[in-house]
Amino acid sequence: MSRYPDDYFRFKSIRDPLYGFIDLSEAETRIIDTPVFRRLLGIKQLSHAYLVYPTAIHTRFEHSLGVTHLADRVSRQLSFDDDVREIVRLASLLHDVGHGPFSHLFETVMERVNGKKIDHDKISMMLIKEDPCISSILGDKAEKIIQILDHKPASGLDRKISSLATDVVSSPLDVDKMDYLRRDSYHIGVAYGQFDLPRIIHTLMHTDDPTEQRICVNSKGQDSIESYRLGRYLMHAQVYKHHTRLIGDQMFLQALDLAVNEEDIIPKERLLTDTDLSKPHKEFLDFYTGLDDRGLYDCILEKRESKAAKILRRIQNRDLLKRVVEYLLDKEVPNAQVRARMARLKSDDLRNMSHKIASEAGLDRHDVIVHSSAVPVNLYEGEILVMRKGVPVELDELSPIDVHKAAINKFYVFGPGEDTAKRRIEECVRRQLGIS
Amino acid sequence: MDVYDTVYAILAANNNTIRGRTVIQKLVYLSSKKIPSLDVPPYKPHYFGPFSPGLRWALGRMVSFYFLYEEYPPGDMYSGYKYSLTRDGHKLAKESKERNNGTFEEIAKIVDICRKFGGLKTAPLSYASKIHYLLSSHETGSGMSLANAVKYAKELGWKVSEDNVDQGAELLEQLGLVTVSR
Repeated sequence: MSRYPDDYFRFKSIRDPLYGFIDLSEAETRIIDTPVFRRLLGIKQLSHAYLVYPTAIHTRFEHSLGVTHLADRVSRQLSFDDDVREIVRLASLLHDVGHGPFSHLFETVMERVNGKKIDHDKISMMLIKEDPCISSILGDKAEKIIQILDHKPASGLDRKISSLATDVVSSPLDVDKMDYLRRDSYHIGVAYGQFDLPRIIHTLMHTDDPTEQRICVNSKGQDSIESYRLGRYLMHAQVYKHHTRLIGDQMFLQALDLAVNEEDIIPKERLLTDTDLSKPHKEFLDFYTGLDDRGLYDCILEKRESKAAKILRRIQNRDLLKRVVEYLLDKEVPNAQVRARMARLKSDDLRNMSHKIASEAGLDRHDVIVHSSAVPVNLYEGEILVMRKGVPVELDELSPIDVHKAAINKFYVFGPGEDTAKRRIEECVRRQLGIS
Repeated sequence: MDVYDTVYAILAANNNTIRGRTVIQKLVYLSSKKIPSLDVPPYKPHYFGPFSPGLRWALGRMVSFYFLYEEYPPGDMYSGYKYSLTRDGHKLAKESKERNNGTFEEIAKIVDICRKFGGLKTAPLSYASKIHYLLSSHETGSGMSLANAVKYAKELGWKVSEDNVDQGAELLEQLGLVTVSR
């Protein structure tokens, strides 16, 4: 007998274009009204994709609600008891609360400032632990939620259930991806990210290991997962990695880099943090949670004469750099050593390469951006398990669709659209890549 | 050496071919534990033992860039993908070996021990990796004991028989990754 009243998870219902209504518990309703959570209304899900798709202006807020809704459906499918269901719902609701302005783009600047990766997931955990409003609502549930998000066994939960709960929130078959592919598709007005969600949820089950249970689908769900895979590829190819969106994002990163590291518009020291959850991060979090998309733009644009502001104005006016060079790395770069070097390029290397090409071509260093893009074709970087005759098997081993590549890798150089500049850039790139 | 060079070294140590994604995952895992200077992406617990999404990504990249050839030969059910070096991959592996000869030799020894132990089959490598993963999350330093390996595996109820646990632990012992306290 559950100690939760029947309407515990239905304290409030919120309209949603994908699911009709999303029901929330009282605690969840209080969480979404906290300033830290409401800030997600100001963080676009797809950063600068609106430069290509004008309706791509939906936010992390509605995505978080959608993920909570799916977490509930999956929890019921997996027969979680109400205690676990509540933890999974709350972890899903809060999984993105640590996103910075323009979502994943801000992680790039955090990495550069801190000299190591500071993912939004870690900041979500810091906020769950330290934000006074959120932690007071969650009470002793906060610890379990953090452990689930951190892929650690949740204290007080059966270990096998804990691993399964983690898989629901974060795994190759998690509710985050199930929501964003369809939600992004809906808002943009494309059909690429659609897949048979009810079928997938209906066929979800878990492996039979006595401790570390993992999420999987029964064999009837296999084809729905194939369509999920295809949807993911098409969304990456058509939306997430659309070259114009990439140009907008990269120009924004240039502006942000200038604002933080050169023009002192955003105080670098306020972005310094570590990921040690045992320490307090109040000062950092106070500053970080004051940032959203609009606020960041305004803050930079206020310094009208700065280079950073000039770049942002170009983005606002859609006066973007152009795609000057585009190579399919596996087909159009014959030299193995060059390809091997390209495979290993990190963001600092790309920046240095941009500056070198700009200098050789006699252009301002902000007029050239080198970017390496990978459109994933395979499944997520992990196991998607299908239960076949009682034995969990990796979907890849059963799939009738033979995928020859993990990703389509493209190498871009963006620059000014004038013919002379384009020619000079092309020559420099060909020289550097050993292409005749 | 980074993850790409580590994969080259593992393939080079086995006549330029490895059968099974899980086998590569576990060989890189065990190599990185034996040679801490290897710069490989982190591992997380998965159904078949510790699994590195970053390594999977790197393997995919090596296939996409035509350094590795990935195929799924017909025949044995669920025996997995076969990876071999392409012509360009050979060239890069050779160059990497010239730069990192000592580490290539260390990895060759690890692969050799694993091959002699269980013919580079998935099961013993998975048992050994799971047990090592469990031990590392329980104990620090180099004082891991075989007895504790068995104890933790049982405590955590991995779906392995006592023989399997013994087998995994024995491989770890041969690799010098656990000390024996019988």
